Amino acid sequence: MKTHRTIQKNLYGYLRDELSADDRRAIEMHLKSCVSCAGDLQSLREAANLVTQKVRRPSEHRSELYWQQFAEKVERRIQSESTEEEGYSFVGRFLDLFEENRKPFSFGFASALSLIVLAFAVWSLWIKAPAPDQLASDSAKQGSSALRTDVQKTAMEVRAEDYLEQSKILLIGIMNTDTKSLVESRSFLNRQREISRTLVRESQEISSGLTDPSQQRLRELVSDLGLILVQIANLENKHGVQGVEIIKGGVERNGILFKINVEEIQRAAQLSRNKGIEKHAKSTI
Amino acid sequence: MPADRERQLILNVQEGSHDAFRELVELHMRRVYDLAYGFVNDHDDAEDVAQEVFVKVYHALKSFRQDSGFSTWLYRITANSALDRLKQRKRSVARFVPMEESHLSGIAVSQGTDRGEESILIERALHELPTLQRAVVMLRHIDGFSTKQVSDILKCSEGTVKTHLHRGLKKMRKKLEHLKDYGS
Repeated sequence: MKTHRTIQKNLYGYLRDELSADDRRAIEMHLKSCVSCAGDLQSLREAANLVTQKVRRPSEHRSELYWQQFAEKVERRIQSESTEEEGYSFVGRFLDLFEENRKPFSFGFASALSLIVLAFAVWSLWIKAPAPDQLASDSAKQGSSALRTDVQKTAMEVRAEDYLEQSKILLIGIMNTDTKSLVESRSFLNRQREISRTLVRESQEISSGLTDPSQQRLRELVSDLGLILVQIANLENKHGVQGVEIIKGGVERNGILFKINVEEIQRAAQLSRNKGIEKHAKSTI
Repeated sequence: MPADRERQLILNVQEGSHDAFRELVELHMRRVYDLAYGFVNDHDDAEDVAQEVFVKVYHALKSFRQDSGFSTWLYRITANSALDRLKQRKRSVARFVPMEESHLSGIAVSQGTDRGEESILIERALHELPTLQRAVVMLRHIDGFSTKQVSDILKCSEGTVKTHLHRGLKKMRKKLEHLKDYGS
């Protein structure tokens, strides 16, 4: 025989049909003779029905536009937090390191500098510099030597970085301008179209120049961006508000601005790592 | 969405795909928001907590192992973040925000005529419940989680969940006694 207290505890389970057959039978027996529990069960049933049928989900209080932009807001937040962390890692860590290890840092730096000076002195005394014509002929023989490939790769990447930066400015300008005023301002639209045409040409050259497998992500971003820029370049006044909205939607849907920022952050981090390696190599010499 | 697709999305995010992360966010954003709101009882806070949850997920997904359920993991992060928010702001006592005064930006204020005043009163009664009672009632009766799932998310026993549900629903009914006059 179950106690009144146990029955009370199981009333919700009974209501939602979450009890074993034995517990269910015990409650049904009890309810026949207990007015208080029968009243409680009725209250629970009514309240549960009211909540289920009449209360809207909190997310339904937000507009559809809000939900369309939600993921982008999350991406922006991730991006801004990464930027803050990067800022700390470049400046803060250096300052912390310097503050904590002021003496060893000074000794280390002085030792590295002495070694570099010594190495330079030995090189200038013992190694004879090749004549300019000799250098040119060596270079021609080597053709696509590792050093030369590196220089070309860097130049193309620098070009890609400029392209990304200019495209970002262009897109931010479009995204932050009210669509209607954008369509009405012919001079602004003409200027955007002109810049886009230049950038489209640039994107084609950069895409074909980024051939290394490590540059695949950058190449894809340049191409994705190129598609958006083609749309801007071909935008006519007759396309009106709808045309601009399609472009804006494309930028948002593909997270283009987010991807550009991530690429910039990653390149800055890579640059920082390379500098660290270079510095380490120098200090080892 | 099939579990296989979700698993694939998680793998893609772990490999660095932004599109997959966006799809994962869009898949769960409303439920995360609803759950956060169940605790914090405020649209601005719910928005902030929901965004914060996905930022945490973005970083934690790199080390997430597929053998544990993603949804339960996600909703547990949400519950913890929402509870942290309550602690931070010392709002452990339920705060009452009338739903019809949704003056916050982006909140749709349209109320169907069939819903009207009755719905507002029910929502108000729900929002006046203590935090945990409100959260379990919303998780169980609005979000549709089972009692077992609610206990997993809140890391407590099913018995505790049922006790909160029982007390919460009873209080609500008491507050809404006058609704009989509205012909409920």
